[in-house]
Amino acid sequence: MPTGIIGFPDDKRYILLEHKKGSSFLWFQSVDNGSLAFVLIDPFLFKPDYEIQLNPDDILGLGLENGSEGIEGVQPLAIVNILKTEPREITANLLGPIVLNLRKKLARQVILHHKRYSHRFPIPQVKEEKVP
Amino acid sequence: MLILTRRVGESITIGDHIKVYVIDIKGRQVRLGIKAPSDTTVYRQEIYQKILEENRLAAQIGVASIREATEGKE
Repeated sequence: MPTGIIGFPDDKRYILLEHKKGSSFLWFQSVDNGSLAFVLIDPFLFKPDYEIQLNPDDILGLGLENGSEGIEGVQPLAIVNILKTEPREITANLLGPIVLNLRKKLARQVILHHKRYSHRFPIPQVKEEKVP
Repeated sequence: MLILTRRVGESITIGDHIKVYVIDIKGRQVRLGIKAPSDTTVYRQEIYQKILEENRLAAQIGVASIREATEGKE
């Protein structure tokens, strides 16, 4: 991640891990800082009409400038938060997703302006049977 | 913080690579143009702040929290 995650500019290398078998959640674990990790989720699982829009800096930062990546090579993942409510509300940051260029293994936190997405979009109960 | 007063059409250079132009002023709104190298991202402050805080909170989530919160949901 050339520019790191906002607020964590020095941590640029991460690995993507499954939370547990069959889970929709993923862990984005910093390689250089063992105690830094984020829970991510594919926003299309609960918002099928989710749309990202990349500006020229995003395209450059993700190594997409040749246009050789189809939409399939670009995957947005939303950072998950857990609110201190009772019961715990799980939310996804749809305003600033981590966008991955899968082929080049590059990632970037992109801020979206084209739609008014929430930084705290509630994730509904995701039952395993419903996840394709 | 350095505070400057600029008129429409004037600009500011920050370091060697960043330029801020005052393009237009309408009432209480200022239209700014910003030239910066591609490895420097420009953010609207309130949005940057929102994302920054959200990221910081999210970084505190441990395996136990996600397990507890998703009990019965996953």
